[in-house]
Amino acid sequence: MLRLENVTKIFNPNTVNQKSALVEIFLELAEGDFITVIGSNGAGKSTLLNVIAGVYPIDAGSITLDGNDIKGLPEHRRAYSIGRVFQDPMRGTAPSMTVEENLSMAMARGKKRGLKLGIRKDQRQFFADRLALLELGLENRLKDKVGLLSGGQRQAITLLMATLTHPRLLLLDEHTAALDPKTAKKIVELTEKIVGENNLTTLMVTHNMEQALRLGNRLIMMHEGRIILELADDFKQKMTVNGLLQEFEHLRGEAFVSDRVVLAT
Amino acid sequence: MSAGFFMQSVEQGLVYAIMAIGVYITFRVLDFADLTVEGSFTLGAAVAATLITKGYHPVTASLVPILAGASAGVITGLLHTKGRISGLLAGILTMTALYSINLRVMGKSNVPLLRTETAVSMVKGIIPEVIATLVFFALCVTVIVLLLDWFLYTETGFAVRATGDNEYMIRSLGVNTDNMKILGLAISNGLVAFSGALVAQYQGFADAGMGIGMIVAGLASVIIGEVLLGAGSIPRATIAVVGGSIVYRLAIAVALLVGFRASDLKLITAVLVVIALVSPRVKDMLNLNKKASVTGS
Ligand SMILES: Nc1ncnc2c1ncn2[C@@H]1O[C@H](COP(=O)(O)OP(=O)(O)OP(=O)(O)O)[C@@H](O)[C@H]1O
Ligand SMILES: [Mg+2]
Repeated sequence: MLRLENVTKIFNPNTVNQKSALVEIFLELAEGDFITVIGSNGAGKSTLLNVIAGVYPIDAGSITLDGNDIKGLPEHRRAYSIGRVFQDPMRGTAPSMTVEENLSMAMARGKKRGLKLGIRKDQRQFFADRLALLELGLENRLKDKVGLLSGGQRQAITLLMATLTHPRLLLLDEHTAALDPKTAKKIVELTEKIVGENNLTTLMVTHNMEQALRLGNRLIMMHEGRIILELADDFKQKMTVNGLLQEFEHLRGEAFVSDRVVLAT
Repeated sequence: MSAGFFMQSVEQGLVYAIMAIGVYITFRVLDFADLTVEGSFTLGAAVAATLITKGYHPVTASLVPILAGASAGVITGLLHTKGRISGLLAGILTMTALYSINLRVMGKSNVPLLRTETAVSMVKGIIPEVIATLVFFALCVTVIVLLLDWFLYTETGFAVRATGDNEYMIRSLGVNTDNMKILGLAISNGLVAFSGALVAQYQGFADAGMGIGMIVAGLASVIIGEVLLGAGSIPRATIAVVGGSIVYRLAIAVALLVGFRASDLKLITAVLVVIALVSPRVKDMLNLNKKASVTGS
């Protein structure tokens, strides 16, 4: 359903700061695929998600979603069918607006926004039901401003907002990295639950190798703008964290360098 | 302060409140310091005065300026979003260009409106003259506040608010934030121009320099309103702007009474805004000191 062909992204071309963030990437996602993405710092993981979402244009190659070339579409148009959760919990919600206002804006994803009232009475129960699934008591705080909530609560709402309208594609970029371990665990559980129940096609970047192996049905490892390892479901199930590290050293002839890799299982 | 003097200040507070609401939309809702205001206020006055002297109906002469002001806002918006010019500079460019345009519209630097029928003089023919202006302005402000409150709760209004609050977020939900900024600037400057059109008819002339200092006066109203009445919700915030504008005009009247010159007012206003903007920080600092001394003792 999503197909990246020969995708290349070069930052600051023809300057001393030239940086090839993505080099001739081929990647194909089938309907319902849940792919975890790992790799050292600066490997190009965020850039991969950003070019899919249309944050910046690519320098070569093509990106198709459901057979349509989306390369030329601006970010907000691609957002019609792509949900995102960012690493920064502050980034996915509007702090001075209420919980229900935020959710209603997510409900309007991909629809024309006109002069109808932003929140209609019949939506409130739906929002409350959805929030109740998060098991954070947020269903009682529909009218609170999001800025009053904790980072974990905001990230949970962002996850809900990203998936509320069943987007064709879900992009998660280290969306638990900024949270404390307990909250991060909770958000990971929610992610599994929501992705699983809705059978969402998902790309998830993580620095936690154990998580990358446990979640999803495929795994890719990136290094210096390339995908250097791809594990299909059966291989992924048999793989261990140590196995992954050895694989990396074998492929690259150097130790896996990252300040955030989580080795513990 | 005499009753007449007091009422005059309230009238001014109301008519300038429309401008202040425009400033609220850009400054608070869109988080965009828009200097177009100084030019679009005068533009509204210039268009209204010119239409009236050309014999157009005062209602037409009061409403057409809204479109003129909105166009000015669109231009600033295009410069900023498509031209990638900083918001501050985009506003300054439009404001500067408008200075020439306003002189072209008026043909001279001052257009008097004495002995001509204006919206204000028309109303005086319908309701008792003493309260006519006050009632008319209060009515205009009420309609605008209600319309704006409603708009900011619509789907599009949500998108405009979110654009000012967290641009990334609303873009990732499929909204073209450039368009929302342009829309917000258009509404804001449309209101500012409408205020200018009414002020010209109220004071009996349009003048090329009448927009000078408008942005700071608008900010002062917004901030005074927030301090005195709070800004917890949208209806609360918009009403607070109106209240802030009235208090601001009263404060100006008092300053004149105690012997300041009219030419001192801009300095006083600027100082007022500085105090209002800085005082939360000072308060924080004082609190910190207090806490430090408590734990220290
Ligand atoms: N907007 C940008 N402008 C210039 N260079 C950029 C930009 N974004 C990323 N880069 C560079 O591209 C390379 C890939 O960055 P990217 O953020 O995709 O890495 P990452 O795999 O997400 O790393 P991390 O694990 O640290 O998040 C890096 O060298 C980075 O410095
Ligand atoms: Mg990254």
